[in-house]
Amino acid sequence: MGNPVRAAALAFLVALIAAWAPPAVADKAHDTLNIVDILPIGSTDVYFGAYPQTQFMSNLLFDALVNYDPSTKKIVPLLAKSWTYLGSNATEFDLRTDVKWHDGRKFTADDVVYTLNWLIDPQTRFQRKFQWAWIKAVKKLGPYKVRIETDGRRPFDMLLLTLTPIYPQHVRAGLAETTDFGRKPVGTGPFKAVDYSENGGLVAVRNPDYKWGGSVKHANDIGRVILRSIPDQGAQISGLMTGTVDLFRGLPAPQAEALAQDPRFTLDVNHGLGFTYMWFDATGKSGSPPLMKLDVRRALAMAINRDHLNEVFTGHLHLPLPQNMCWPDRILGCAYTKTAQPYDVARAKKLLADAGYPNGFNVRITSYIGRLSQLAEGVAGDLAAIGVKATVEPVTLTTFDKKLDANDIQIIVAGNGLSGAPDVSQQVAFFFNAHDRTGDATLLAEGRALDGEIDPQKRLKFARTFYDRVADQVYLQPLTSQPQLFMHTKDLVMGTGSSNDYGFTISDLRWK
Amino acid sequence: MRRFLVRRLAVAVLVIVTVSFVGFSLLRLSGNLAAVLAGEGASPREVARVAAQYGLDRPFFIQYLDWAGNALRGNLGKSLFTGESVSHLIATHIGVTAALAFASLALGLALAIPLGVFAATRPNSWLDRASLTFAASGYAIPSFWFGLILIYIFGVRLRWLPTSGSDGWTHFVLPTIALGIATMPAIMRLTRAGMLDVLSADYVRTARAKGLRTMTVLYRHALPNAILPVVSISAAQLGMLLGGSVIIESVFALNGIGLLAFQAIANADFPVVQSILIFLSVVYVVLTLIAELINARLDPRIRL
Amino acid sequence: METSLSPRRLMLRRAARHGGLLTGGAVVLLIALVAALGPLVTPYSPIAQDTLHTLSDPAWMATGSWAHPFGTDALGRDVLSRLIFGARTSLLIAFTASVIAAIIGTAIGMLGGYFGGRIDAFAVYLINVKLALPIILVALAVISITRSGVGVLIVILGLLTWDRYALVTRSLTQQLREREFVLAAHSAGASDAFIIVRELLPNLLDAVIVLITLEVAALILIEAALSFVGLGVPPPTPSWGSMIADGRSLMFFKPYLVMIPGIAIFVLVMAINLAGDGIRDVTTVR
Repeated sequence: MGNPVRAAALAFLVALIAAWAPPAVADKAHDTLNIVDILPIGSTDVYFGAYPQTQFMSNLLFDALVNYDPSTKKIVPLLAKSWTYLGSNATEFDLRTDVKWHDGRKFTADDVVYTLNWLIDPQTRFQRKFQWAWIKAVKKLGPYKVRIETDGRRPFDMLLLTLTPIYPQHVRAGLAETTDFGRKPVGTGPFKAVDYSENGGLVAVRNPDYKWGGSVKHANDIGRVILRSIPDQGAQISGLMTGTVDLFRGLPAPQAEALAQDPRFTLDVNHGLGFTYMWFDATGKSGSPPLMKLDVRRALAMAINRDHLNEVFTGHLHLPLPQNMCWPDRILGCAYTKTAQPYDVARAKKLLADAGYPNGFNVRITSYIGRLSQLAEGVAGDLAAIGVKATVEPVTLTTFDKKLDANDIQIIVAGNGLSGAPDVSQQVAFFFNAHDRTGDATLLAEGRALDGEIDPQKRLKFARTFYDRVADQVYLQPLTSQPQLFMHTKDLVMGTGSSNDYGFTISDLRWK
Repeated sequence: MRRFLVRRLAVAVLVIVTVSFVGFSLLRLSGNLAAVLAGEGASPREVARVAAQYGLDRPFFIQYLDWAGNALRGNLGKSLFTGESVSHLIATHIGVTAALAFASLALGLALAIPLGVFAATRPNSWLDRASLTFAASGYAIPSFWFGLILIYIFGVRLRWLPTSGSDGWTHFVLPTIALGIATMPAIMRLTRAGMLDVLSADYVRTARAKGLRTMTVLYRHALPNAILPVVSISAAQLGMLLGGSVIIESVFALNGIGLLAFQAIANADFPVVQSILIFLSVVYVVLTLIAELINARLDPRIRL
Repeated sequence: METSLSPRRLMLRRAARHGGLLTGGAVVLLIALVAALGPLVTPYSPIAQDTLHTLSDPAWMATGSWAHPFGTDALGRDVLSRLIFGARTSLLIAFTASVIAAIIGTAIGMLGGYFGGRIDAFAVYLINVKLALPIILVALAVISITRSGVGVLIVILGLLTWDRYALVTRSLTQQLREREFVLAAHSAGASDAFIIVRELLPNLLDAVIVLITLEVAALILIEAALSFVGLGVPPPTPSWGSMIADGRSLMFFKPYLVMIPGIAIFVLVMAINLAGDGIRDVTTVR
C-alpha cells in the first residue's frame, strides 16, 4: 500500500487536468447573448418581480398596449394600433388583429380584459398593486376593441400603460398558482422563453413571427438571449474576461473605465432618467431634531462637494450635475427655477453655528448596500468637515422599505430612476405621496395640483412651483447623475437612449 | 445501549424543538409581517385584513404550534418574495451546499490526517512545529479572502477553472479549497494527539519488531485506533461547513442554501430564513448524534 | 537550582524558550500597541477623503509615493490609516465579545459541572442548543433585523460564541470537584458559592485565558466575514473585512486594496493562535 497522500494528490491532479476544458464560450459566434446581473433573476412576471431586470425580461417576452418613444417623447402604438380619448374618464383602444402568442394562439381583447381585470381585482395580491389603482374598469367592446375607464385622465396614465404587459388569458387564468406563470411565460414579445430556472436563468430565443414592434421594438440580429444571475462583481468581471459573459451593468465608474482600457471590452453609458440625492427627514419623526431646521439642512447640503462626488462616482464621463429633482430635457412635465445648494464649507459652518450647532451633531445616513453606500460614505466624509458626525447604515431594499415605513431613517442617500416612467408624476408619487418626509402641507397640495393637471403648459407652471419649493426648503439636495454603466464585449453594439428601468431593452442591442 | 440511544435521542429532539422556537420567534418579532404581505402603500385596514387572513393576529404560541404542525408534515410555508414553496427551495438548493461541505471535509481530512500522522512520528521536532503551523495557517486565512485570491489566480489569470456558478464539478474545486483548509488544524491536532497515544502502545511496538514497514504500521495498525475522535469532530465540522458556507457561496456564486439564506435575509423573506436556520440545526444535531453513536459503538467506555 | 523555583518561575522559563509564544506574542503586542496608539500614529484620519488622489498606488510601486505608503482607496482615503483604525475596531469587538462569551460560558459550565444532576442536564441542553445554531446565519439575521453597529456586534457575537468556554469549564469543574481541597472546603462548612468562586474559579483561569486568546482570533475572522458582506461594522468606520469588500470589484486593477487587509487578518489571527497555543503549552503541566 503506497503512501495514500501521494496517491490522492496524483489523482487530484490527473482529474484536474482531465477535466480542464476551455470555458463554454457563448458569444457572437454562437449567436447567443449572455447577460448577467448581480441580483437574483426573479420572476419574468413584472407584477410579481421586484428587480430592475424584470423590466428587461418583460420587454423581451411581452408587449403592452402602447409603447413610449424616448426620441420623440411620445406614446406610440404596440398591441393597440390606435386609441380615442372619450372625455376625461375613458379611452377606447383598437387592437391589432395579427398578433399571436408564443404558443400560436391569437391575441384578442379577452386577454386585455383578463390582464387589467386581474390587476384591479380586490382578491389579487401583489406588492405594487396600488400603481394601477387608477384603472376603474375594463370593458370588451368587440373581439379587438376595449374601453378602459379611469378615475380621471392624467397624462401619466398612458405612460403607466406602457409598463403594463398583457398576459394570455388561456394560459394564466387557469393556473392554480398565478406566480407560476412567471416561470413558464407565454407572451407576444420579440423573444420567447425556452427555459427558466434559478440556476440557469432565463433562456429565450427569437420569435420569428414578431412584426408589431414598430420603430421602438424593432427587430435585431440576436438569436438567443440568456439572462443569469452572478451575485458578485468580481465574478462578473472574470466572466467577461473569460468570455462566458457578454454584458452586465452596474459596475462602478472607476472599475468600468479601467476595464474599458482593454480593447476587448466596451463601456456604454445611459445617462438615465434618474439622479442620486440626499433626502432629509424634516418632520423629526426619525429622531433628529436638527434636521427640522431649514438652516441646518441648508448647511448640510452646502457641505457636500458635488463635483468631487460626481468625479468619483461617474468617473471621467463628465456628466452634468442635477440641479433639481428632474431633468428638463428628458422627463415630461419637468420645470424649475430654483436649484441645488452650492458648495460652500465656510458658509455651511456659519449656518450650522447660527442654527445652534457650532459643534455639529450626530446623524445617521441610510443607504442601499453597494455603490450607493459608497456615495453615502463620500457624503459622510464631507459632513465630517463641518463637524457633523455621520454613520452610514447600508441596508437591503426590503429593510430600507421597512425602515422608511417606520420613519426610522434620518438622511437617505439613494438614487431614483423613475422606474422607467419618465414623468414628474412618478416622482411626486414616490417622494411625497408614498412617504412624506416634509410635513409640509403646502408642498403636498402643490404636488396634488401637479399630479392632476393635464394641460401641458399648466403642468409646467405647477411643476415650477412644486420643485422650486423643494429646493427652497432644501428638503432634498440632488447629488450626482445616476448613469447606467454597461460593460460588454466589443462584438456588441448598444444604443443608449432607452427609458427602460434596466437601462436598455433588447432592441437597443445588435451584433457588430 | 438502548437506554443510551433513547436518552441521546430525547436530548436531540428537545434541542431541535428549542431551536425551531428560537428561529421562529427571532424572525416573527422582526417586524410587521402583515404589512409586508399586504404590500406597499396598503391602508391600515388592508393590513388588518391580511393579518386576520394569515392568522397573524393570534397569540404567538398558537402561531408557533400551527407552524410546527405544518413543518412536521413537510409544509414550510411559501417564500414571501417568489411565492415558491420553501421546502422546494431548500430541496433544490441543498445539493450544492452538501456537495461543497463533503468535498471540503474530504479535502481537510486528506490534508490534515497525513500531516497529523507525520507530526506524531517526530514529536516536538521543528518538523512537528512546522506542520502545526502549516495546519494553523489554513484556519487563519480568511476563507472569503482566500476565495477571491483563488478566483483571481486560477480563474482569471490562469483560466484553469471557472470563476462562478455551479454547473459542473470543476466549479467546486476553488470553493472547496477555500473552505476546506480551515478544517485542517482541528483535525490535524486530534490525529496527532491520537497517534501519539497509540504509538507508544505495545501492539505497535510488536508490529514494528515484526519488521513491518513504517507506513504499514502507521496507517494500517496505528491510525485506525487513533482515528476515533476525528470521527466525531468530522461530524461537527461537517455541520459547521454546512452552516458556514454562506459567505463562500456568495463569493463563488454557488446556488446553495447558504446563498439562498443570504438572499432571503436581504429580502426579509422570513419563512425561508427561519426554515433554513432550523434545517441546518437539525442536520447538525443529527450529525452529532450519529457521531456519538459511532463513538459509543466503537468504544464502550464512552456510554456514560 | 531548578527544583527550588516556583511553578510560576518555571512557567516563565518555558515561555522564554517557546518559539511560537514569543513570535506570536511579539506580533500581537506590536499590533495591539499600534492599534491602541491609533490616532497618534496614523498619518491621516481614516475617513478623510481626497477625491483628487483616489486609487493611488502603494509606495513600493513606481507610481506610488510615501505620502500614502499603502496607497488610497476609491474615495482617496489612506489605506494605512484605515488599516490601523480597523485593527482598533476589530480588536475591540473581538476582545469584548470574547470576555462576554467567557463570562456566560464559564458561568454555565461551572454551575453544570459543580452541581451535576438536573442543573447539569440543563446546562448540557443549553450548550447543545447553542452548538446547533449556525453562528454566521443567526448573526446575519439578527443584525439585519436590528441596526448594525459596534455595540450590537459585540453583544450578538458574545451571545453566540460561549459554548467552548462552557464545555471546557464544565469538564474541568467536574474533575476538580472531586479533589481534596474542594472536599476539605466542603467539610469546613464553606457555601457552594464560595467554593465555586474562591476555590474552583482561580484554577480554571489559565484555561479560560487560553480560550479567550483563541476565541479572539476566531471572532476577528467572524467579524471580518460579517463586515465583508456589509452587516458588520457600519461605515465609514473602517474594518478589515469591509476594506476587502470595498476593494473586491477593483481587485483586478488595484489588487493591493484586497491583499493588504487580507494579509493583515492572516498575520494577526496567526499570531494570536501561536501565542494562545504557546500559553497553553506553557501552562499545561505535562
